[in-house]
Amino acid sequence: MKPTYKKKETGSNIPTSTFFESNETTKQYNDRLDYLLVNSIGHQVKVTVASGIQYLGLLVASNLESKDGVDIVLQNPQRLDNSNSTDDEPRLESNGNLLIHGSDVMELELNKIDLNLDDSKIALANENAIITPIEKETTATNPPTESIKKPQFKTDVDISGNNKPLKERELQKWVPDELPLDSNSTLKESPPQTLEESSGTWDQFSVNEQKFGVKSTYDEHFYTTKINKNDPNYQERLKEAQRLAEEIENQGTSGNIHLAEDRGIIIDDSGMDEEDLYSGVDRRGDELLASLKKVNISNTPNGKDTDNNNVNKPNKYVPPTLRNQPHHMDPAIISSTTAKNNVVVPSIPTPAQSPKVEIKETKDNTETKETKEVKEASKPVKPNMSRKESLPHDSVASRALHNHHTNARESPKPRIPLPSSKEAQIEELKNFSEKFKVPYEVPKDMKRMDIKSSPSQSGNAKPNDGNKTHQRRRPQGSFFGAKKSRTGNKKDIFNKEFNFFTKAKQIHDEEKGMEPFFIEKPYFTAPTWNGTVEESFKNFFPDEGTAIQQAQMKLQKRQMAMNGGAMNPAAAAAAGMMGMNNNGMMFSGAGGPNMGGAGGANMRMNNAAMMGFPSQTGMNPMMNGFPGAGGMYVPFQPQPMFYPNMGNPMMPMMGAGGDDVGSNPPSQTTSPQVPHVYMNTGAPPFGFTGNTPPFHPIAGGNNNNNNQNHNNNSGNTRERNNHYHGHRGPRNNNRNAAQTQT
Amino acid sequence: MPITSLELFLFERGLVGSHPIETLKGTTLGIDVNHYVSRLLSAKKEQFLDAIGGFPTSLKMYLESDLKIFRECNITPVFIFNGSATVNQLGYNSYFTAGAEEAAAAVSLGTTSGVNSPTSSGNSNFKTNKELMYTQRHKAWTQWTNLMSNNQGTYIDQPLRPSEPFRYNTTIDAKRYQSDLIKYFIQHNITYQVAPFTSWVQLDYLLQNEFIDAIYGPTDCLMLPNLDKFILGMEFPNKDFRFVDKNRVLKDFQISYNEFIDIAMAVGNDLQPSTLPPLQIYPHHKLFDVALEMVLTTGTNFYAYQLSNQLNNSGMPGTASPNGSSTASNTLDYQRGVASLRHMPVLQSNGRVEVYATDNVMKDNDTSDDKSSTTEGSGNKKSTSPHPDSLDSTRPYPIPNDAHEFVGQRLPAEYYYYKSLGLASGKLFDSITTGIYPEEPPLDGGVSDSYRALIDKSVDTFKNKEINLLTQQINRYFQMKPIKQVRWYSPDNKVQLTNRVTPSIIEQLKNVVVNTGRENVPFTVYEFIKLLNDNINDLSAQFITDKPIITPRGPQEKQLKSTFDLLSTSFLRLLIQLEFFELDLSKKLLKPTSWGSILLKFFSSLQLNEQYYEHLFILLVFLQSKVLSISEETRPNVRSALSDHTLRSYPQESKYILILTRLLTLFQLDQKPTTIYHGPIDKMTLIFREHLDFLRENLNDMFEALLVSSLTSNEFDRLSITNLEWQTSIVQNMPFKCNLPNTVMAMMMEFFLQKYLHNGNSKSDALALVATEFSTYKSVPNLDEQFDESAEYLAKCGDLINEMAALKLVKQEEGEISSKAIQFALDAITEG
Repeated sequence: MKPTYKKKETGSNIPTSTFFESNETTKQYNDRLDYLLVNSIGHQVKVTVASGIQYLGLLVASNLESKDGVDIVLQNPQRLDNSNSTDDEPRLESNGNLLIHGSDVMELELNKIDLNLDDSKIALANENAIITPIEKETTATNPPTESIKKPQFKTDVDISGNNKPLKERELQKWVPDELPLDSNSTLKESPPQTLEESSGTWDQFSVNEQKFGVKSTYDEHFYTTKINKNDPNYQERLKEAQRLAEEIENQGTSGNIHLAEDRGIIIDDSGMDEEDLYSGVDRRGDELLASLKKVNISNTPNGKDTDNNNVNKPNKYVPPTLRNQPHHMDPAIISSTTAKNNVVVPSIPTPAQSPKVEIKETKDNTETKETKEVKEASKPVKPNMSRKESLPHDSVASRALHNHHTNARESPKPRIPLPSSKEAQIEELKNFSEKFKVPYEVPKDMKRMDIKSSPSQSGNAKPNDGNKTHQRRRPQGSFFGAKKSRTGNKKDIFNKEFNFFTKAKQIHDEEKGMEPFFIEKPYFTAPTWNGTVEESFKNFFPDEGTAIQQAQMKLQKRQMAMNGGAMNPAAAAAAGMMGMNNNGMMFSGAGGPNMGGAGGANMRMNNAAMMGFPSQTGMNPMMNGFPGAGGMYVPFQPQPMFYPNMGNPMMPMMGAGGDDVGSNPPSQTTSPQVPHVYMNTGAPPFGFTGNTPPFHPIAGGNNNNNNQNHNNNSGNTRERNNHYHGHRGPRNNNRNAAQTQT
Repeated sequence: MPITSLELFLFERGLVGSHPIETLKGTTLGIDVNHYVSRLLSAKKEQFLDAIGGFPTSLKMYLESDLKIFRECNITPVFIFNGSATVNQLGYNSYFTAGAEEAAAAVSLGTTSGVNSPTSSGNSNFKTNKELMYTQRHKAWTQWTNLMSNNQGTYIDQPLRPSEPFRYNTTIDAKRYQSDLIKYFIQHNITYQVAPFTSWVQLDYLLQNEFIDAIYGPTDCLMLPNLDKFILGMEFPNKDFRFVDKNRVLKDFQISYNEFIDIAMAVGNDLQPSTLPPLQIYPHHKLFDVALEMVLTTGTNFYAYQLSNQLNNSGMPGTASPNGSSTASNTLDYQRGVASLRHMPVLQSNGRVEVYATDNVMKDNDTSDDKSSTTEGSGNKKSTSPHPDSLDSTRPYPIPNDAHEFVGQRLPAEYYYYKSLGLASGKLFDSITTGIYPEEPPLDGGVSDSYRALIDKSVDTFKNKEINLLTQQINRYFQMKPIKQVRWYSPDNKVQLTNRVTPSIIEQLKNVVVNTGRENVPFTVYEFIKLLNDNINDLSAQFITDKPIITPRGPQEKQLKSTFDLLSTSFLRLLIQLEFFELDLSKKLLKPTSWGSILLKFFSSLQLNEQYYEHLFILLVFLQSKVLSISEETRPNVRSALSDHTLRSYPQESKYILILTRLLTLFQLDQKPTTIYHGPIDKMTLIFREHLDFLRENLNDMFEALLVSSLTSNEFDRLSITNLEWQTSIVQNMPFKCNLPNTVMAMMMEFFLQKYLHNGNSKSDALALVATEFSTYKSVPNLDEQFDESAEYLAKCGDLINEMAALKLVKQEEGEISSKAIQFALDAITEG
C-alpha cells in the first residue's frame, strides 16, 4: 500500500511557521474541539483571560467561528484570584452572563466532561435504564493549538454508537423447500437435501448446457500451468513441493485459529466467538511491534548504521505522518498506513509467511535484507524467546508487559520525570529483558537471531523524526540526570563570591595574614592576558597542507563508512562506482604538492582535468579557489543543492527492484532544499553516485560556469562515460541560476 | 548572535526536547540576558519602539510574569549580561567605523528599489543585523514622510499612524537596556552579573563550578566542549522548557564535535558572526542545513577552505571582513572565533578575570563515530592516523600569549568588577581597550545639525575628561594609547581624544570631597542639592579639604565610608567639570556659577518635585550647550506631526506646541506595561529626545568615570560592603543610568492641543481623541491624572525658564514664548 502523506517540504519551506498541520489533521482537531465544547456546555469551566484573571462559571455558549480564538459565554462567573481589577477585563452582560472574546481567552480549562454523554443519553431514552455515565476527567488547555486527548481509544462500535444491546431473533434452522411442483424439472428426482448433505455431483457445465444450451469451452489450463507429469524431474519437484508444504504446515499456526482450521488442525474453539475465530484483528504482539518501530525509528537517522548490512535499509523511511506516534500500536493500522513498515508487520504475527521469504532469499537480496532487518530490529527486546510459551490469550500478562514497555520508553504521564541517566535506563532495560517473555509462539527462524542487546540504542529517543515543534516530546527523564544534586538557592554565594576586594583580602589573610593588606593597584595590570605558552593562537591551527590532508582523511573515512559492508550485488556495484568517483574526487582535491600520494591513476587524471580550467579569477564565490591552482582544495566545490542525500536516497533506488517494497517511496532527503533531481531525470538506477563530480556548476549565473563545466567533463570523460552528469549539468545550471535569482 | 539558522534547524529535526518547568524546582538557573531578551522582544513585538524611544514597556510585563513563575517553582534565576565584544564581534558590529557603512548603505538602499526587499527576501542581502536595522528605520521614516505629505489635504486633527514598522526581523540589543534592566533586577532582588566578555561562556564557567545548575542560553552553547544540555527556551504559559542535548544533536547530524565547531564558525555564530565563503550565497535561514550537507557529502572542512582561498578573499563581494582593516581575512576571523571559544576570559569567583581554560576538552569523537559505523565486515578501517593538530587533542588547550588579539586588551580586575556590578556601563572601558569611541546614529538617523554640534561639543566637555579619568589609574600603556572618537557620518575624520592633561583631572579634583558620614540616606540628585542648599553659605569650607584622601596608600580611617558621600563627591565633581561650580583651589574657593545657582534653586525657590531633578538637570545641560534653543526648529527641517492645516491656521500655537512637546519628552508618563505601543509617532519630538538622551548618556559616562577614578584612588572603603550592597546602595542610586522617557506623553499633548484648537477649544473632545488614538484605556491607567501632572510639570518648567531668563541664561524672547506656550497648555488642560 502506498503511504499517503503530505510531503514534508511544504512545511519546512516556511521557516517562520513552526507549526504545521495538514488540512486533514486540522480538521480533525477542529472537530474534536467542537465536540468537546458542545459536550462542555452546562459544565463548570475555568477561563483565564489575557490579563491573567481567571473566571469560574457555567459554560453557556461558545463561538468557534470567531476569528481570533473561541468566544465564550459564562453564566454566573466568579473571579478566582484577587488581583486588581483592570479596565480591560470583560464586562458582565445585563443578564449576568459574561462574554469573553476569543482574543482575550488565554486558557480554557474544562473539567470532568463526560464525552460518552450522548451514548448514555440514547441508552436512557431507549430503555429507561439507569446508567450512570462513567465519569472521566478531561482537561484541555489551550484548545486551539493542542490536541484534545481522548480518554481512551474508541472501537468502531463506540464510534458508531451502536452499542445498545442487540435484539436477537430466534434463529431457525434452514429447511429445504417442499419438492417443487413442477415434476418435469431435472431436479425432480433429487432427494431433499440439506446444505451439508449436498453430496451429489454437481457439474455446472452440464447443467448449464442442459438447461440453457451453453456449451463451455473451459479448460483449466487456461488459468493455471499444466503440470507436466511426464517431466523427468517430476518426482523430484513433487518431493520438493511436499517438503515445502510440510515445512509451511509445520511452522505451526502460532495461535492463529483460522490458519489452523485451514490446515485441518482440529482445535478447541469452544469459548470463542466468530469474531475471535475469523474476523477480529490479532492484537497480540503489540509490544514487539512497538519495539520494532522504536528500533527502526532510532536507526533511521543513522545512515551509517551499526550494522553494515543496513546500508540500504529499506525500512528506514518513516513518513512524517507516522513519526512520533508511539502509541499507535494496532498492527493492522500500521501495516495499512505505512508502506515502509509493512515489511515488519507480517513477519511477526503471521510466521507462516516467513518460509516464503526464505525461499525468496536466494533470488532477492533486498527481501532478505528486510527479513534480517526485522530480526535485527527485534533482537534487543526478545532475548528469551521460547517457542513453547504459547499463551495466546494471556491478555493480562501481555497488557502488563505492554505497559511496562511503553513506560520504559515514553511515560504516559509526561509530568513525572523518570530516571534518565544512562545507567538508570540500562538497568531498567535489563530488568525488562529478564522478565520479558513473548506471550505466544515464536516462529522458528526467529530463534536463530543472535542476541545482541543494544540498550543505548533503544534507550535513546528517536533522534530524527522530522516533526515540528508542536509535537510535544515526552520527557526522557530528568533534565539533570540521576546524579546531579540540586544545590538550591545560591543567592548568598553570588553575594559573597566574585567580589574582587573581599576575595583578595581573604586570599591575603590566608596566605600572609601578618602583612598589611592593600588592594592591588589597577596600575599593575598589563593590557595583555596571561598565557601558558609563548605562542600565538594562530599556531594552534594546522597549516594549509595539514588541514587539507585531515579533511580528506575524514572524507575518506566517512565514505568508507558509508560504502563499506556487505551488500547485495546491485548495491555493491553502485557502491563500487561511488567509491571510485569519490576517490577521484578526493584526490583531485589535493591537487597540489600536499597530496599524500595515494591517488594513483586517478590523481593524474584529475590533475589533467584541472589544467584545463580557465585561469581568470572567478566572479563566483564558489569558484574562487581555482585560479590558485596549485594548492587548492576542491571538495567544497560541489553544489550541494543537487546532491541527493548520501545515505538515504540510495534506498528507494534499490527498493524499486524488490517486489515487497513495491511502492516507490519518495526519496527521503533530510534537507528540504534538495530537490529530487535524480529521480526526476530518470537516471538509471545504478548510474547514480553519491557525489556529483567535484566541479559541478555553481549558482551565480556567471559565464565561467559553462566553461568550467565543459572542461570538467572533457577532463573526466574517460572515467565517467556513463555518468549522468554530462547531460545533466547544464540543465541544472540553468535551474540553479533561476533559483538564485528569485 | 546565535549560530546562524541552527535553532530553526534543530526544531525541524526534532532535536529540541521539552520538560515541565517543575523539573527545575529548587535550582539556580543561569540566564543569558541577551538570549532571553531576544526571546521576549521577538521581531513582531514593539515595532514602533524605535520611533518613540525609551525602554520597551512590555519587557517589564514579560519579566514580571516570568519572575513570578520562577518564584512559584522555587527557581533562582541568575541573569548574566553580555560584556565587551571580542575583536570579531567589534568588527562585525562596525564598531571601528561607528556603523558608518551600514548607515550609508541604509540610505542608499532606502532610496533605490531595494527598499522593498528586507521584509520579503529573508534578509540574505544584508550583511549584518545593524545594516538591516538601519535600513528598516530609514525605510520606515521615508514611508512616514511620504504618508504625511500624501495626506496633507485630508489630515486635519486625526493623527496618522505609520504603516511601516520600525524594526523587522532584527534583534534588539539588550545592551541598550542594560542599565534599565539592572535597576529592575536590583529593585526585585534578582541576582545578576555582567560578564567581562561573552555571557554564555561566563554561564559555562558558573555551571562548571556549580554556581548554577542549568543554563538558559543561545544555540552557541552547543559549542561549549563541556556542556551537555542547556535550555533553549521557556514556554512559561505551558510551564514547559525546551532543551537541547548536545550528544543527541551530534549523533543526529552524524558529525563530530570538531566538525560541528567548523560548521558553526563557517555559518556564523556569536564569536565569529560573519558568514564565511562559500556559504554566503545561500539563503540565510538554511545556512546550517547547507553547511551540514556539505560536510556529510563531501567532507568539507571550512577551515581548509578558508586557507586555500585566502588569496582571493579581499576582492569578493560580501566576503570581506566587515571590520575594514586590510589584514583581516576570513581565515583570521575563523581563527579568532575558535580561539575565543577556547580562551575566553571570565569573571572567576575570586573576583579576577582570567582566561577560562576549558581544561578537559572534549575528546574528538570522530574516532568513536567511526567505530560505531564500521563493522567487522569491512576491516579496512583500522588505518586511522593519529591526529596531529590540536583540534583533535584531549589535553587542555594551552593558553596563547596573544589572547588580546582575539579577545581584546585586558583591563584591571577592579574595572571588570565594576562592570560586573553594572556600576560602569563598559562603553568607556571598551574605548580604552579598542582605541575607538564610536558615535553611532541615533534613532532618528541623526541628520540634524544640532545633534552633530552636540557630538562635537561632547569631545571637550565629556570625552577627553572621561578618558583621562579612567586611564590615569591604570597601566601606562593606556595613558599613551591614542583614543579616537569616530562618527558615523564622517568615519574618516576621526577625532583624537586628548587623554593627557597635567595635572590630571583627578589631581585637580582630589580636594573636593563630600564627607557627611550619612549612613542611611540613599543618594539622589534631590538629596544632594538639598545638601548643597543646606550648606549654601560655606560651600568652600564644607566641601574643600586640605588633605585629600587620595594618597598612594590612603589612610584607612579617612576613607569615605558612606555610599552617599561617595556618590555625592562624584556628583559635585561632575558639577565642577560641567562648570556649574567654580573651583579655585589656590583661593580655596568653591562657588556656583549662574548655571549652578539655577540648579540650587531647584530646591530653594522652584521647589521642584523630587522626581524632576535629574531630568531637568539634563535640560539645563542641554540649554547650556546652546546647540539649539527651546523654540528653534532643527535644521535641516523635519516635518512636524501637526497637520498643514494646523500649521497654517495656528502658526503661533504650533510654535507653542513645539516647545511643549520638547519639555514633555522629559516627563515620565505612567504607562501600563500591558500593551505594545501602536499609536501615532512624531519624528520632530523624537529628534529632540535623542539630543537629550545623548547628553544623558554622556553625563552617565562622565559620572561613571568620576566614580571609578574615585574608587580606584582609594577614596572609599571598598572592603566594607558586599556585592549586594554595591548593587543596592551604589549602582541603584547612580543618576543618568536609565533611558529617558519615550515621546508618548509629548505626542499626547501635541495631538490633544491640535484637536483642542480645531474643535472649538473643547477639552473633552480632545481628550477623547487622545484616548482613542493612543488606546490609553489600555496603556495609561488614568489619563486625566497624567494630564494634570504634566500640567504641574509644565508650570514648573515655566518657572525654571523664567528664572533662567532672569539670569540671562536664555534669551528674553525664549523665556516669553515659553511662558506663553505653557500658559496655553495650562488653559487647555485646566479648562472645564
